[in-house]
Amino acid sequence: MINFEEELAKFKPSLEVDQAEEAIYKNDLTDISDIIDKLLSEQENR
Amino acid sequence: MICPKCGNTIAIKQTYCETCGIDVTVFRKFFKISNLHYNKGLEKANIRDLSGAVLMLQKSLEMNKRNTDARNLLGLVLFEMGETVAALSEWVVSKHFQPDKNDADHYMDLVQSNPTKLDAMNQAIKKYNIALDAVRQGNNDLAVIQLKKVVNLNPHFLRAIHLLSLLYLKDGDYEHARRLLTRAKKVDISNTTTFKYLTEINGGVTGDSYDGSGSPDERLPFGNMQIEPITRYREDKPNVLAWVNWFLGIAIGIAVTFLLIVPTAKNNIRSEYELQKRDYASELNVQIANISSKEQEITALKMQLKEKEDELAAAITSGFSPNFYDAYFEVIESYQAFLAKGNDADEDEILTMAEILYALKTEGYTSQAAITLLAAMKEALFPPAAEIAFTQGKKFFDNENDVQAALNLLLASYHYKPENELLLYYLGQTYQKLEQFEEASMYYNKLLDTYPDSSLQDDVRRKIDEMGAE
Repeated sequence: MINFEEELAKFKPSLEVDQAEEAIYKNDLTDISDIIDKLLSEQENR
Repeated sequence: MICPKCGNTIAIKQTYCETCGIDVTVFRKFFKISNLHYNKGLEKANIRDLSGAVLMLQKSLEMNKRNTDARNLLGLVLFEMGETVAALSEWVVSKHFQPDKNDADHYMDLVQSNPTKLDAMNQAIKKYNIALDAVRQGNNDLAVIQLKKVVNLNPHFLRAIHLLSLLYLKDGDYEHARRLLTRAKKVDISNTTTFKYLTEINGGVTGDSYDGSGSPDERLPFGNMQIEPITRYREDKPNVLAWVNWFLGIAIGIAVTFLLIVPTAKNNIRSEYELQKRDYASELNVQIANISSKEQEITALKMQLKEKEDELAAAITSGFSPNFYDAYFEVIESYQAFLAKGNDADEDEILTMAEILYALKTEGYTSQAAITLLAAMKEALFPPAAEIAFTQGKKFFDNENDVQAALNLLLASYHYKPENELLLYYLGQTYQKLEQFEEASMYYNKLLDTYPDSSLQDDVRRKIDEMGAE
């Protein structure tokens, strides 16, 4: 049985077109290469 | 391959970067996995498994954020799911990583070249947010209205479709929810939210309650509907119910017309006819009354006319005629001619004029002026005429030429002027000579009565005695 409130909580507001710039800046562009690179850097710093 | 650290191009078979010296073996594996996920994402996108494609493409980008193809495809898939802003974001980022020869340019140009469509999408997003706020505040009706508009503006906006379906499910309107979710399934064939809601509508048949019996299709509540290639043509089933409703509506309409409208119309026509008939009847009565009054008037006028005609006839028979005064005018004319002669008129002319005047009868004359004039003429002419007539008559008697002529003249003189003693004597003698003793006696007696001192008394008595003896 569907719980209306539970399902409703999953819905998030949608960004409008004029908020696209903000969304782009907030976009996390980290990929695994960046993570490994970071790990390697941390290791080197130690 | 591009070196992830310095960006330098590395040959395919090389295991390290010549510029920065890092070992790229691992990175090659990562890129390979990224491409693998991209291929899977592409496969899923081809069969419209958009949710699955998004997951695969996101994994691909986690492995290699510079995978432009994966990012562009992700933008496409998100755009198809109605996530316009997310799609634009991906394309912008893709452009950032690969400024030249990038398909993202083409996609963004396509979107921005249709401002109307873009505005519609933006409106859809705004209304979706309004609807979401309304639902959270408990105003479900407003949310439903807004979401219907959103779905009209952007029929692929899956989140709006899901939210609207959820509201329908809450209200128990399963039919509308089912229609919406069926539409959502066509956009994204394996969306879990869509399946979840459809399961709710179909009664919650799940794998846990399945005991092994029944056809394989019953095990899966949606049968083989998980994969519906968009390329397969399926004709929509004809909506029989709509036709049935249509015929029923027509039948009901006809029944209502004949049971309610037609009798009412007939009654209206009948009452209008009765009203008109009444009006005509009253008008007819008025006209009949007018006619009878006119007939009475005609009768009265006819009677008046008859009376007037009788009066006219009586007036004519009484002697009045338009030519009544013609004889008078002739006498006047003769008298004027006589007067014109003056002293030249002889005795015969005087006698003739006197005779004409005497012969004119004035009975019925209403003009007093005419009567007075005639009397004046007689007064002027009769004395001399009487004298002339007496003289001539006496002459005739004395000479015994023509006793009758003498009588005529003497009578004329008597008519003009009876007061003449000698005239009465001669009249008596003339009648006596004509042996008309009665008339003679009358004149003799008149002489005796009128002139008692006359010297002719004895002679007259003696003549009367003579006539008595005869």
